[in-house]
Amino acid sequence: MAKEKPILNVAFIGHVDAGKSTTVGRLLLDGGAIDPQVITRLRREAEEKGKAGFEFAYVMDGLKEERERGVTIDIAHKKFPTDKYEVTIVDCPGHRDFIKNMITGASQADAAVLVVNVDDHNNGIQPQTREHIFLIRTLGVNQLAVAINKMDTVNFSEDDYNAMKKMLSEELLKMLGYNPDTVPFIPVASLHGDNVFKKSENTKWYKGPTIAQVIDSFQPPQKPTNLPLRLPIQDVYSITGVGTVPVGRVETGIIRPGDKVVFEPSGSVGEVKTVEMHHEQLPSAEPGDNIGFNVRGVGKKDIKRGDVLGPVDNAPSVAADFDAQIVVLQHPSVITAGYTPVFHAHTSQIACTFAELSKKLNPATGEVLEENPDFLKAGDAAIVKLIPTKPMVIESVKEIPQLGRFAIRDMGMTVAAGMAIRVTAKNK
Amino acid sequence: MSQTSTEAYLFKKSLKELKGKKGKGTELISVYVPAGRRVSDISQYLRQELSQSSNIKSKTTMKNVQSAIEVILQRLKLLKEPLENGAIIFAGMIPRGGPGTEKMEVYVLEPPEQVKTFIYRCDSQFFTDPLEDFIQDKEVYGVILVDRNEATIGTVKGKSITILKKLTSGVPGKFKAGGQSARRLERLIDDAAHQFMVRIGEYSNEAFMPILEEKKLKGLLLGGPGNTKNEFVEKGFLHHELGKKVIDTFDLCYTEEFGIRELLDKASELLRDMDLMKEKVIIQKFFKELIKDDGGLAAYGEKQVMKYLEMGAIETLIVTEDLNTTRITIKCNNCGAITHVNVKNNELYKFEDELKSKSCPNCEGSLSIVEEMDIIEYLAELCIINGSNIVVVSTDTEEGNQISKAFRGIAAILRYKV
Ligand SMILES: Nc1nc2c(ncn2[C@@H]2O[C@H](COP(=O)(O)OP(=O)(O)OP(=O)(O)O)[C@@H](O)[C@H]2O)c(=O)[nH]1
Ligand SMILES: [Mg+2]
Repeated sequence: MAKEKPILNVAFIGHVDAGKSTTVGRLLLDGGAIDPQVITRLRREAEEKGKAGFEFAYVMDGLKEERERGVTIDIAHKKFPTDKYEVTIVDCPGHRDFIKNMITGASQADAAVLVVNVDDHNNGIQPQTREHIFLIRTLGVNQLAVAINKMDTVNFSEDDYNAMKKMLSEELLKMLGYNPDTVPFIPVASLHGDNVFKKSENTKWYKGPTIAQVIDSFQPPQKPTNLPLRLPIQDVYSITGVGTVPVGRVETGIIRPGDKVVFEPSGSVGEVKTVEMHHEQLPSAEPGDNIGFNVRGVGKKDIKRGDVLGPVDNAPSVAADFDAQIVVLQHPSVITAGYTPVFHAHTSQIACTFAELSKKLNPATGEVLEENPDFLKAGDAAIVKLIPTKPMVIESVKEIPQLGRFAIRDMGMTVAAGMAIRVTAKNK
Repeated sequence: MSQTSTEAYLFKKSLKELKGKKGKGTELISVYVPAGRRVSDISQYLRQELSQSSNIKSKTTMKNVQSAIEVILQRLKLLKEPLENGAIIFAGMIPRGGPGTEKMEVYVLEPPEQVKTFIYRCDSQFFTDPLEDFIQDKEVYGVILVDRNEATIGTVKGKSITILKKLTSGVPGKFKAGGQSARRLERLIDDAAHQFMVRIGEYSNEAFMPILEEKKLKGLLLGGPGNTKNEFVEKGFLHHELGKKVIDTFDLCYTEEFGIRELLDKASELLRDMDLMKEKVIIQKFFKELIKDDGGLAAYGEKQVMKYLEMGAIETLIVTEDLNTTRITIKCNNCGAITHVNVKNNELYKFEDELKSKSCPNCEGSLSIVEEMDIIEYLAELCIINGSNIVVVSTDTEEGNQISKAFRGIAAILRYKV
């Protein structure tokens, strides 16, 4: 099958219950990607489960537990063709317990739509609104739009919309280096469809685009096809008749049937048999493609989320240790040698120990302020040496930038972000 | 815990030293005197052993065993009766270097708990197993972390976290594979999830039932993302006796090792009496001072901390048990001048050796060591004099590890800004 339109992965992020899944469901329905009958069926199911109003969310929330509780647990992907793109929507969970799944989703995105409840301007920015923005920024997703949702609950008031827009701009976006003037804001009521796919009659004061139009205005992602193949595994399925099917997004390089590949750190080797996307077989897949594939000689037990696929003759680097440049975003205490928080890089999550704080840097200029500081605190930038507590794939950003970025979490929050600048690989 | 953490440290340290001692033959004697037992009974038993030892074939072994028993008999006389907790005595000839360097060493220990049974052992090593039982923590919390994909089973006791088992589920994810009906997928997921819970239950029973039977299981803590953990408890996958032991469930993001740390944070109120928690709390307090713009009430580094300690400015001194340093007191044999040096334990022999070729800086007289003392013991004494608290922390916790690595094992919270 020839791919005419470029692929764009758009992650929907934001605090729990902001309406991410509802927005996605609405977009798919009004955009013609799902049959209206599906919604009728889901509405009945939602009512039976005492969850009326969740019918649009149910489109993405396929798990029984998700439907019963009305929360998204794991990320879900859906194909959504627009005029310009073959969009893959990644609906992320907002609940803090499932943030590791959200990070997996964010690591696959080319652009993000932040969904917030318009009412938040009365309550302050919600914790996962903040954390999700930190995370996508950290993971290198620079294209952002903000959907201010549930406008129906404030009678589509322009004042409330502006208050919310102002709060986000002043208290969050500017701080993280976004220019709020270039970030599109859209007033929406996803449950009713206002400004999701169709322009709303209720917001005459709003002259901007709908969510669908904003998505089309995003830039196509870079396609680093000249770099070696790297494909972080998001999940592994075993399907009767087909066998083991790992899924994930191609970050760099090209994958084709017949390629001799290795999964690291597990070290399993095999030959790619088939590559498919949205249930269609492909002759090859490129960066940005979210694919399922099948590798001869590799079983479900041999690989797991967080493994990275690469060519046998240029395997992903399994770090014995690595040097990184980090920025401490927020921290209730200190970062010192011996500290061991969780690192999220691509689809993996592994605790790493700070072995050495090498240099403290001026966060603005990068100039060295201090050699071997004793500790770091919020606002500091530094070069540090890290040792993973378990085998972990990470690449130097100088060689494969897509695989070099990470976020550091501890005590229920994202405390720092960084990138690997030198990797001592133990498999090379 | 201030003074007792020093005692615990010293106890552990001597235990380690005792364990490392080896006699030339089967000639090291260990005696455990039970609480309330009359010393005269024990002496009589030992005198019998003494007469029997004349049958030992090797002349030197016989001589060594006999002198060890005699030393113990002498020491027994010094004990004050009644013995509330009993007594533990080790004695024997221990070689310091090559042949002929043996010296009689004897240790009389006051047991931290009652000795229950009488033990007499003659072996090439001291018999320390019952001592180790003493310092084993009696209270164990069982931890079960679950979500749909993985589970971790472990224990938290005293200062340590132990992972006993890790499981992964194989529960299919939320995507429909080609051709599969939604209903069929849901059934597959349900079945796999059920199987997984059964397995977690089995492993948990295996791990925790023995601890429960020993009456050491203080309770079970469950954690993980979402509702899976609650379901696991409610649907009775645990042995019913263990089910009764569930204290609480906690919302966590992670289910691996790291999840246990997350759990400790969330359950800190509940666990606040555990040593592990007390250490964490104190070190976090030090960190909180450290991040203040003016450095707050935090101090670290051996020299500075010693200075503040002598000034009486320290509220709490934090030291890690891996300092492995000895404070040496040196005296000039000629003018009598006294000096102190802190030497790492692994450089002790070298230091003693080098001292022979050194002389007094004042009068060039020869030098000798008059006292060697564990640095922590020394610091603890200084703390008593200056009214400071001392906390000896293990390096098993992340925070303890940070003090050890980043602050070379010595840190302090001050009473006032110096
Ligand atoms: N009134 C109103 N309610 C909405 C709107 N959009 C979503 N909701 C409601 O908000 C609730 C949460 O919606 P979801 O779409 O599940 O929210 P979510 O952001 O996906 O939540 P998580 O995935 O669990 O983080 C549901 O009850 C929806 O009906 C809206 O535009 N107006
Ligand atoms: Mg959702």
